[in-house]
Amino acid sequence: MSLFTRSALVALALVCLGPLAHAADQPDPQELQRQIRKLEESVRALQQKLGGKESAEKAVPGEGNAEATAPVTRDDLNGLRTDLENFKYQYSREREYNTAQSNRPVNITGLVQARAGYSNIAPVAAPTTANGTKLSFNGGNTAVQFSGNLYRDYEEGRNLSYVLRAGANATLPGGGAGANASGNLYVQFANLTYNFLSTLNPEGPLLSLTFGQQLLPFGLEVAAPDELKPTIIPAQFTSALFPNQIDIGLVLRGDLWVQYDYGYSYRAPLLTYIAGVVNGSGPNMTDNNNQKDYFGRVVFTAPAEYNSWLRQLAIGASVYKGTQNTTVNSNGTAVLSGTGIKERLGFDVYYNHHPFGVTYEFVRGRDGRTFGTSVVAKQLETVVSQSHVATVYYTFGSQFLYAQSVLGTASVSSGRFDDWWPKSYQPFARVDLFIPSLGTRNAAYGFPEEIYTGGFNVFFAQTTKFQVNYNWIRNHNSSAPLTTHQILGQFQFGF
Amino acid sequence: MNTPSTLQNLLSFTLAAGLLAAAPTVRADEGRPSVIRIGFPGTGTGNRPVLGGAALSTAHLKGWVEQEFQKDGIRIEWNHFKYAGPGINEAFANGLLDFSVEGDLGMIIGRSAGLHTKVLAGDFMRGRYAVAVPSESSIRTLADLKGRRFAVAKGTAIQLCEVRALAKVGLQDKDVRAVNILGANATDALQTKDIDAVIGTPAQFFPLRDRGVARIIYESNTPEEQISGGFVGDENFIRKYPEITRRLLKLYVKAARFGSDEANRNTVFALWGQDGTGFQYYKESYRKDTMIEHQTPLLDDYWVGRFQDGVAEALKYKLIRKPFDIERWLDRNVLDAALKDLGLEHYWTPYRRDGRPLTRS
Repeated sequence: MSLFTRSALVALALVCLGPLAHAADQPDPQELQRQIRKLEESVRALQQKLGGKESAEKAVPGEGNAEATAPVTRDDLNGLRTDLENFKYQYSREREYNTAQSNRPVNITGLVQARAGYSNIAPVAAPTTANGTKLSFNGGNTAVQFSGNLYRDYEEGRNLSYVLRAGANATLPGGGAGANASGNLYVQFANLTYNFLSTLNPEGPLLSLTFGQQLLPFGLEVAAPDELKPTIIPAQFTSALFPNQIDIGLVLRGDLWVQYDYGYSYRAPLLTYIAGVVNGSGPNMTDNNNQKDYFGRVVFTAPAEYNSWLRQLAIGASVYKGTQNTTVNSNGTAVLSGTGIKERLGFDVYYNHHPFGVTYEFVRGRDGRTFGTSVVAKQLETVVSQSHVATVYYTFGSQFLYAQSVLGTASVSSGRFDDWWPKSYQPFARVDLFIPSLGTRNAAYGFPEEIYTGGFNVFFAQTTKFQVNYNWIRNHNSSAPLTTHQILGQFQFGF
Repeated sequence: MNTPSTLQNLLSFTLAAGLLAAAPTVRADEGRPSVIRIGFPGTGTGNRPVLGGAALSTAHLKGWVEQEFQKDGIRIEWNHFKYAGPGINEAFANGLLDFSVEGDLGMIIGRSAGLHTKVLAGDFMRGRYAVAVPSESSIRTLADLKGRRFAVAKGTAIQLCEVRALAKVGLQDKDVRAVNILGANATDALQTKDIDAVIGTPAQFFPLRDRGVARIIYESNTPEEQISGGFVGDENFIRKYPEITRRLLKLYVKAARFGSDEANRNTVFALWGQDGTGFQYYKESYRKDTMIEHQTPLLDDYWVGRFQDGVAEALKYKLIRKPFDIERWLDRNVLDAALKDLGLEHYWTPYRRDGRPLTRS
C-alpha cells in the first residue's frame, strides 16, 4: 500500500473519530472498537483489491481482456432488445400451439403394468374362452390420474385439491375378471379434498375431508393404491371382503401429537385417525340400499427420532360396519332377498425401518348371507371369515430415502439432469391365509386357501418397478384339494 | 395347513435371491472405492444439479475431482439435496453419502443425533443472510417483525440466522409467527403477499427486488451472525480410504485457493452463476466482502466459535437434545497435510473467535 493511501486512511480515521471525541466527555469504547474493526476490514479489502488489480495488470493482454473492457454500443443494446422481443414472440407462439393448457394447475400421473405368468394348472374357464392356458401375457392395472389444487393457500396451505383418476383392472391370473370387468376403463377416483389445518408446518397436526369416490382407507392392503401394492396378486381378503376397495362418500383424516425431527425432516404423528361414511355399493354406482356403511381407523406410530430403532413402527386398527344386499339363487338367477350385515375388523402392524421391513395384517369379516333357492324359504346366516397376511422384506439401495413414505417422511429429492433412476432391490417373503368360513366349509361357503409367495422387486423409481413372484397356492377343498404353482412377472411403470 | 418343508424352501429361495442381488452393490474394495458420493445442500434454479458459493462448487464445476480420480477408475457421484441439511443427514445415516458441504445447523443436528461424520474443512464461511418483505409492506426494520408471519426454512442454517436476526432487536422466535416454508415456496408466498417476511440468502431475493415485488429490509453484516459451514466426511470412509480422502481434500483446498484469489473473482462468479443465480447476483452478494474470507477452509477459532454458538442456540431452542464436543468432531490432520502439500500453510489468515484476524507473531 502506498504512503499516500495509508495517510489518507489515517486521516479518514481521525476525521471519523474526531466528532466522537468531542461528542461526549467519555466516548463509548465499544463504539470506538467497532469503528476501528470496520476500518481494519476496509484496509484489508483495499489491500486485496490492489493485489488483484496488480495481478490483472501483469497478465498478458489478449483478446479476452479487451472484450471484457470494451464499451457496449447502442447498436448492441438495440440488437439485444430485438433478440428479446423475438424470443418473447416465439415463446408465446409455441405456448399457444404446442402446449396443452388448462384452467387450473394440473398434475398428470399414471400407471402402466404389463404381466406375464405361468401356472402349472390351467385355470378353469368358460367353455367359450381359452382352452387350458398355462402361460400367458396379461395386461395389468392401468390408470391415468389428474390432480392439483383448485385453491392454493400460500399463507397456511389450507388447500382445496382434486383427484380424477380413470383406470382399468387387470385380468387376474387364473382366469376371471377384476371388479368393473378387466380391460374396461372406468372412473376410479373422483374427489375433492379440503385441508382444515395448515399443511405448511410439518410440526403441526393435519385434518382433511375428502368428498367423492375414493379408496377405502381400511388397513394396509386395501388402502394401498395399485402402484403401491406389494405383490402382483393382492391379498385374498381384499377381493373377498372388499371386492370394490373404492366407494363414494365422505372421509375425514387427521393426525395428532406430531413429533418432527428437524435433522432428517422425519415426521411421526403419535396418533392418526380416519372416519368415514360411504354408500357401500362400490364405485360408479348409486346406493343400492337405504343404509350407509361406516368405518374408522386409528394408527399409533411410535414416537421416535430418526436414529431410533423404533422409527416407522406403527400399529393400526380398523373397523367397518355396513349393510349389504343379500340374494338367493333361484333357477340360476340371483334374486334379491333382503339385507345382511357387512362387518370387518382389522388389526395391522407396520415396521419399515430401512433396510428391514415387516408387515402383518389380520382381518375378520362377518357377512350376513342368505342361502336357498327362494326368497320365501331363505336361510339367513352370518358367515365369519378370517385372514392373516404377513410380509417380511429387505431393501437395499437408495430409492426410498428420496420419496414420500406412507408415514410422512419428507420428500428429499435430489437435483438431477434428465432421467435419474436410483435403484433399490427388495427380496421378500409373504404368507397369505384366508378362511372364507370359520364354520361350514363347502362349495357354497368356500374353502380355506393359503398362498406362500417368494419374490424379488427391483425399484427404478418410486412407482416404477419390476417384480417376480413365485406363488405356492394350496386350496383346501375337502373333496379335491389343489396345489398350484405360479410364476408371475410384472413390469410397472409410473409416470 | 402347516407345510414346514415348503416354508423352508420358500425362505431358502428368498435368501438366495437376496444374496444374488446383493452382489452388484458390493463396493469394489481393493484399497479404493468404485464411487465417491459427494453432496451439496441445495439445488440450482429449476432443480438443476448445480450449486455455487462453496469451494467444492468450484471443484465440481471445473471437473477437477473427475480428472483426479479418473486414472483410478473411481466414479464421482454428485448429489444435490433439495432440502439441504435434512436430506444430507438422511443420506449419511443410511450409508449413501461419503462427503458433503453443509450449513452449520444441519451439521450440528446430524452430529448431535449420532451421525458418524468428521469435519475436514470449513466452507460457506461468513455467508450473509437477508430479510425481505413485499415491496408495499409497512415493515421497515427487524423490530417491525413482531407478531408478523415470518417464513423460515427450519432445520437448515437459515433457522439459526432467524434466531440471531431477531435477537438483534430483542425478539425471540415466539415473538413472531414463524412458518416453516422452504425455498421457492417461500418466495412464492412473498410474491402473493401471503407471508409478511422471509429470511434467506440475499441472492434469493434479488430477482424479486428487481421485479419490484419485494424489498430487502436487512442484510447481515457482522461476523457473529453470519452463516458458517463445513466440508464433512463419513468416518467409515475416511478410515477405510485415507489416501483417497487426502487427495480429495487437497483438491478441495486447491479450489478454495482458486476462489480466494481476487483475480479470479469474476471467473468464480461466472462459474457459480450456472446454478441459475447468475453472474450479476453473485457479484452483488459479495460486493462488500473479500473472497478470501468466504473461501477459507481453516478450522480456526472463528469457525469453532461459530459452531459452539450454534450448538448452544440449537440446544436452547430444543433443536438438539444434547451438546457435544466440537473439537472431537474435527479432523485437522487431513487439512494440515493438504495445506502443506500445496505450500499454503500461511495463505489464509486464521481468525479469532470474534472474527478478527489472528495476528501472527
